[in-house]
Amino acid sequence: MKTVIETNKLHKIFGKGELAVHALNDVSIQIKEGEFTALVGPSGSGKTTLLNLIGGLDQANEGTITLNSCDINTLKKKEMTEFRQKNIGFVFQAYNLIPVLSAYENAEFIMLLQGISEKIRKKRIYKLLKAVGLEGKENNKPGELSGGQQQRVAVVRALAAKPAYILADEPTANLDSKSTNDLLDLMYQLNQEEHMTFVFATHDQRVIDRAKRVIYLEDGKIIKDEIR
Amino acid sequence: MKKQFLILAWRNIWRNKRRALLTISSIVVSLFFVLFMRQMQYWTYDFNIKNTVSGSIGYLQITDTSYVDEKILDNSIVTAEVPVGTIESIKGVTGVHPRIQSGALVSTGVKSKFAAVLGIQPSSDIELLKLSHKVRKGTLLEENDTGVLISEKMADYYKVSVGDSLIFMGQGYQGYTAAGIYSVKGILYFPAGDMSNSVLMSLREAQRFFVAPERITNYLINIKNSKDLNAIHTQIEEQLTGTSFIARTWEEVLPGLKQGFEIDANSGLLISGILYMIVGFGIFGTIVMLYNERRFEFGVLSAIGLQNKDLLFITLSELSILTLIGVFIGNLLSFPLLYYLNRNPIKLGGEAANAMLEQGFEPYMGTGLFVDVFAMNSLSVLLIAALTSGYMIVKIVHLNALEAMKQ
Ligand SMILES: Nc1ncnc2c1ncn2[C@@H]1O[C@H](COP(=O)(O)OP(=O)(O)O)[C@@H](O)[C@H]1O
Ligand SMILES: [Mg+2]
Repeated sequence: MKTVIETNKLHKIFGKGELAVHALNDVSIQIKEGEFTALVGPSGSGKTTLLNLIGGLDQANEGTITLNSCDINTLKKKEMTEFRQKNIGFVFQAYNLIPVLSAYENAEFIMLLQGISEKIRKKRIYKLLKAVGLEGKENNKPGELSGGQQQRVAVVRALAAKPAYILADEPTANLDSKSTNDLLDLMYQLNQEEHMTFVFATHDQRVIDRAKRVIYLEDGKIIKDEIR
Repeated sequence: MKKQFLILAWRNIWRNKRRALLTISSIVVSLFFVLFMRQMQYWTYDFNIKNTVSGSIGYLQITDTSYVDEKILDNSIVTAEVPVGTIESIKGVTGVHPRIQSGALVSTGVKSKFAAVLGIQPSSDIELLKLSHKVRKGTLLEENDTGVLISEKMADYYKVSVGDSLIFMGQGYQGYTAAGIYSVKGILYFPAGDMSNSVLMSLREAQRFFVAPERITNYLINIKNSKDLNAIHTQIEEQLTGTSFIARTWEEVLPGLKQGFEIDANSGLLISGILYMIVGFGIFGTIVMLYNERRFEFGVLSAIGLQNKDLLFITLSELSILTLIGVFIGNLLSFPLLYYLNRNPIKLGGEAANAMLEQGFEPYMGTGLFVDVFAMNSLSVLLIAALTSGYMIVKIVHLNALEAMKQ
C-alpha cells in the first residue's frame, strides 16, 4: 500500500522563551492508503496541531512532511492552497459550509474549483448525497439542515473531488449519539467502498471504538500506535 | 467559474438584507442630494450668464483698448472699423450688438439724478434684454426712436409717467455738451440691480445725444454654447490683431460675477465632500463588519483550496455590485426631478429672491442636466468605495486559513 502521509521528527513550538509550548515533540508517523485512523489524546495533547501540519495549513519548526509523495516544504503559499484543493479533503468541527449555497452547491464547490464538467459533478454529487442519506435535501441551505446533516454534506464535499485523504478534526464534537453513529457508519462505508483514507482527531470514545488504527498522543508525543 | 463566483457574491450581498439596503440607501440619498445641489448650481450659473450676461455685457465684448481702463465716450470706437461681418460669420457666434453705454444727469426741473444711458438697437436688443416681459406702462422703442424707456424705480423717483418729459444733460464726445429733452415712451420693471437706474434709448438717438455719430462704446458678442467661449475669443482676437480694439470675455469684464460663481461652486464642493465622507464611513463600516462576520468562513474556503485572489474577486464583486446599485438608483431617482425643474424653473419670491437679486442673480430656481455633473459625482462615489475597499484587499491578500478560523 502506498504511503500518503509521512512525517519525520516533527517539532512544533508555539510562543517563545518561558511561554513556549512544545505542541509536537519528535512526531514521526506513516499513514497508508485506505487506513481509518484516529488521533487520540486529551485536550491540548497536540491532535489539532498535527492535523494542521499534515493538512498543509501550518508549518513545523523542525522535521519533514511528505504528503502524497510531495515534500510540502518546497511549496509556496499559492501552491500549497492548490495542493490542498487537489489532495486533501477537510471536515472541521462545525460551520464547514457556505450558508448561501445549497447542500448540492456546497458539495460541488471543490469540483467546481477543479473545473470538473457539470455532467460529472452532477452524477457524483447525487450519488454521494444519496449514499449519505440526503436525497431530496439537495436544495436545502445549511441553515435548513441539522448539525449531523451539515457534517454529512461536509464529508460529501471533502470526498467528491477524490482527494488522497480526508482529515477530520473532532467531526462529531457537536453531534448527538445517533448522528455520530450515522456519520461514522458513513465514513466507514466510504472507507470500504471508495478505499478513502481517513484521519480523525478525536477524544470521542465512539469514534475511537470504530477506528482501525489508533495513535495516542500526550504532551505532543506519540505514546502508543495501535493497529486493530 | 467566474460566473459561479458572481452568483456567490450576489447571494452574499443579500445575506444581511438590512445592511445591504442601508448601505445602498446611504449612497442613494447622498448622491441624490449632491446631484440636486450641483445641477442646481450649474444651472443657475448658466441661466444667469444666458439671461443677464448676454443682454448686459455679452459673452464677449469688443471695445477700444483704452476703454478697458477708462470707460468714457472719448474712448469709443467707429463702427465701420470693426470687422463685424467676419466676426458674425465665426461658427457659434449668434449675434454682434452695438451699444453705447454712458451716463447723463436726468431731471424734471425739480428733481435730478445721475443715470446710466444705454443706446440699444431695438431690432435685436428688445429680444436680447427680454424687454417685452418687462413693460409695465407704455410701449417699447422702435428703430431710431426718439423717446426713452425708464425703469419703474426712476418713474417713482421723478413721479413721471408715459408721455411726460425728462431733461437730459451730460458730456458728449470730445467735449461736446450733450443735452436734450426726451419724452418717456415706456416704463420697465427690472428685477436685477444695475438696470434699475438705466435709461434706454435707440442707438441712433444716443449717438445724436452724445454728439458721437457712427460711434459706439462697445460691441456685445453672444455665442450659442458657453463651452466654446475661449475658442471663439481666440478667433476674434485674431481678427482684431493690428487694430486698437480688444475682445474680452464676460469673465474679464465682470470678474466679480465669475468669482461669485466660483465661491458658490466651492461651497457646493465642500458640502459634497462632507457627504461623500459620510458615505465613505458607511461603506467602510459595512466592509469591516462583513469581514469580521465572515472571517471563519473565509478561513474554511482558504483551507479547502480557494485561492485568496478568488476570494478577493468574490468580496470585491459584492462591494462593487452594492455600490453600483446605489449609484444607479441615485441617478435614476434624481433624474425625474432634475428633468422637471430643468423644463420648469420656479420663480422665487420673498427673502430668497431678494438675496439672489442682491448677488446679481435672477430669482429663479432650476436644475441642469449636465452629463459631467452626473458622471463626476457617480465616479466620486465609486472612487470612495474603491478606496475604502482597500481594507478588504489588505485583509484578504494576507489571509491565512488557520488564523482566520481561530475562534
Ligand atoms: N496558535 C497557538 N498558539 C499558541 N499555542 C497553541 C496554539 N495552538 C495550539 N497551541 C497549544 O499547543 C498545544 C496543543 O494544542 P492542540 O493541538 O490544539 O491540542 P488538541 O487538539 O489535542 O486539543 C496546547 O497546549 C495549545 O494550547
Ligand atoms: Mg483540537
